[in-house]
Amino acid sequence: MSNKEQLKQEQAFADWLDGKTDDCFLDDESLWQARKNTVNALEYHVAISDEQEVPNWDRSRGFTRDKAPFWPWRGLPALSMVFSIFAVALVLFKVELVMQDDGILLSFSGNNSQLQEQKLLQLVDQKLQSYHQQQQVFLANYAEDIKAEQQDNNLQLVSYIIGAARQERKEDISDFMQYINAQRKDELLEQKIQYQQLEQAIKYSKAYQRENVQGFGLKQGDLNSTPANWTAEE
Amino acid sequence: MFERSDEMLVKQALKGKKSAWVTLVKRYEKNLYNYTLRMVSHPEDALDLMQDVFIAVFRNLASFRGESPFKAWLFKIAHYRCIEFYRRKKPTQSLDDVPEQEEQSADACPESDLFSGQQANILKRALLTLPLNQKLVVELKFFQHCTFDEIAQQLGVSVNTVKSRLYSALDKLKAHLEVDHVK
Repeated sequence: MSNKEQLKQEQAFADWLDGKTDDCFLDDESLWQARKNTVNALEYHVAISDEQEVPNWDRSRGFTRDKAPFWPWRGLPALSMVFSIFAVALVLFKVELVMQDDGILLSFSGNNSQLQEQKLLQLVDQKLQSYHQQQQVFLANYAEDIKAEQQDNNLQLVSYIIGAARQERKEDISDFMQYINAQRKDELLEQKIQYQQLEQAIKYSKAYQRENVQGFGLKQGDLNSTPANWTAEE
Repeated sequence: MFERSDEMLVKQALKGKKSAWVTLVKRYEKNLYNYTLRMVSHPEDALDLMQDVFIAVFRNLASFRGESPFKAWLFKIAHYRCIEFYRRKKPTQSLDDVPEQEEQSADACPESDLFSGQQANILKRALLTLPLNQKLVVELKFFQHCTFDEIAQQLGVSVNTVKSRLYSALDKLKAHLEVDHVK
């Protein structure tokens, strides 16, 4: 048998042993066929041989607990279970324990929540009323303050207007008086000028008359005397 | 009905649950006991070896990662313990050597008689003629129904070595088994 054929038979035998093929076809006289027969015989003996029962022995032998339990009391799991059931019951029956000022309230099925809700609504109403009253007082006070401030502002405005008018009138009268005084000064000056002119005229007239007297032979001693009928003569 | 997986039992045993460990032991003790019995051919030694294996398994339980099935891991440890057992018992003998026929004396033991029926006795006698390495391969192939790859992985040798050991074993067994009537 060639080496190639040998390898082929060996592979077929190995596949059959591994269960990859249901059967392998080998030469009747080959080494592989003999081994196949041995395998069949072996499997036959394995199949008919009974498994022996294990003698009794300590199965927990060698089992060592490395870590000591945190809680040595063995009843802890049971107690834990009881508390768990109790907790579940509390949740299922909606048990509520409420601490109040006047004591402790234990309620079932959420009764306390309704009571609490009512109390809460009352409290909210009460707070709202209080807030409303407080706001009204604030509003009234604010209106009063505004009113007083407005009156004060009005008073100040009136005082200002009256003061301003009075000042204007005073200034007007003062200007008028100054004007009048200036007019009077002008008139007095004009009068003075007229008087001076008149005096000059009179002086000139007197001087003219005296020269005329001397020239026409009038006595010297008669210069200061006035003619008896001056007015008539004039 | 609700059978816990090996991984679950291992986790529980690691947490210190004794019942989980006992369940795990009960699940594999028969298989392991028969394996050790075939390996050492003596009920008392087999029981000692089985207990030794379970103790070793428990000590190394924390290192079990679950990457391979627990059974494969258990039998891998069992193979190593079996080899150690042989080396302790016969320190001068190689694992590839054919054992001396002192095991014959075991047949005289009444416990051994319980182990074997007539047919089983033939198989047992045939296996006694094999060196340990070949016996391990035969065990894994025909009793544990492993493939060549699985055997190679468990024993830490190549597939060709496994095949070589198995074929040698078959050649030796041929003379001891009644081959003709099962052709």
